[in-house]
Amino acid sequence: MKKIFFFLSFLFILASCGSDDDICLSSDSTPRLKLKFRSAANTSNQLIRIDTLYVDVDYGKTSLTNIITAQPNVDSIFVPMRVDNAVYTDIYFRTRKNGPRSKMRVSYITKPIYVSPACGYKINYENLNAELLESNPVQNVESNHTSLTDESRINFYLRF
Amino acid sequence: MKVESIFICAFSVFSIFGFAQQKQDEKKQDSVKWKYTPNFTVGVDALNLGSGFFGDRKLYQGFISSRINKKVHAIIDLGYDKNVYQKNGYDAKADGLFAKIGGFYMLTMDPDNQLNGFYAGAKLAASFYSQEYMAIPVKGQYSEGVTVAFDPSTQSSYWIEASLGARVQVFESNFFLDVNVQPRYLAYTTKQEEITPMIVPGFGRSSGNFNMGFSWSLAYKF
Repeated sequence: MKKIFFFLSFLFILASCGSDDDICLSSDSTPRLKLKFRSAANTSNQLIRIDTLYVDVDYGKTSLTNIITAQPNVDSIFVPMRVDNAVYTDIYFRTRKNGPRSKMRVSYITKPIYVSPACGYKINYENLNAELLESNPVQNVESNHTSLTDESRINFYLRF
Repeated sequence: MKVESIFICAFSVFSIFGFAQQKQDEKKQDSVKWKYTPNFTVGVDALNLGSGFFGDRKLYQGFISSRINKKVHAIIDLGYDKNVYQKNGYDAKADGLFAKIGGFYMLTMDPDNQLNGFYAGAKLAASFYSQEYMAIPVKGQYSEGVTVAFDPSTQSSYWIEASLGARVQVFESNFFLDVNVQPRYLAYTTKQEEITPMIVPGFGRSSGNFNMGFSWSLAYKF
């Protein structure tokens, strides 16, 4: 009988150090924009690699966020876009550290999707549309898939 | 949160002394036919009342139980719970009333006082509450701190719970100490925009469907 008293008290003491289970371990986050590259010199659809690439993104902070720095021999990149209420994300491309910079504005319609208690919401993008505001070194943008719900499909081809 | 935990811990240790007065007689009782006479025991949860001073959660609950035959008691719990959830980018609050109805069975009884002993029981519970999610995080790389907000809404949740506990008379008075643990399972909840509620009044943290409740009540038998 007495043992059960102690067992009960033990349960109470256990309760004092209860754990929390609210960590989002799943990778079910907002999908990233997927980009591949083509050559601007010829009109073929052959994919190319960029020898060195720098990518900066404007997330609405005071300065640009550098997401890719001097990555060599790149064949495709993933670019996380803004998840706030902005209707576009500005992405900047350079092939040399101090070289010219292209500015691409991707506009879209955001759609928040509830994932789980631990993860909260993710954003899906619809009606993706890219506009090249400054066109060197990127010469042209070709749209491929205009909705972004997972990272399986290529959204835009950039012609360098 | 830390202070609240220490309080619960201290309360647990204290509760051992409360039980230490239990007599350990092993007399065989005579089995007389038990007849129902109106009887009520009314209790107030002191553990959660007290920990409300140290934490964000304000849980006030009490029960009315009645012995309906020799070993079975019927019980109704009523309570009010107000809680906040501010974690991992969430900012939410909920408050509301809840009720539980069920019974418990005396597993062991003190031969001298048949109200003393260990019991196990089951309850059905429902909570009707208002909630407001001021912020739910949006997960995206390089975009920390982005949230979505929702208007206040009224929701309801339903769960089943077991109770395991003990009841001990305080000396020769009509007062009883009642300690129990309540493993509970959230069976159904209404949702706002498909959002799983993070807190449910009376149930507690509800991001998982399983939760454990504790109460330490002071009861008076009429």
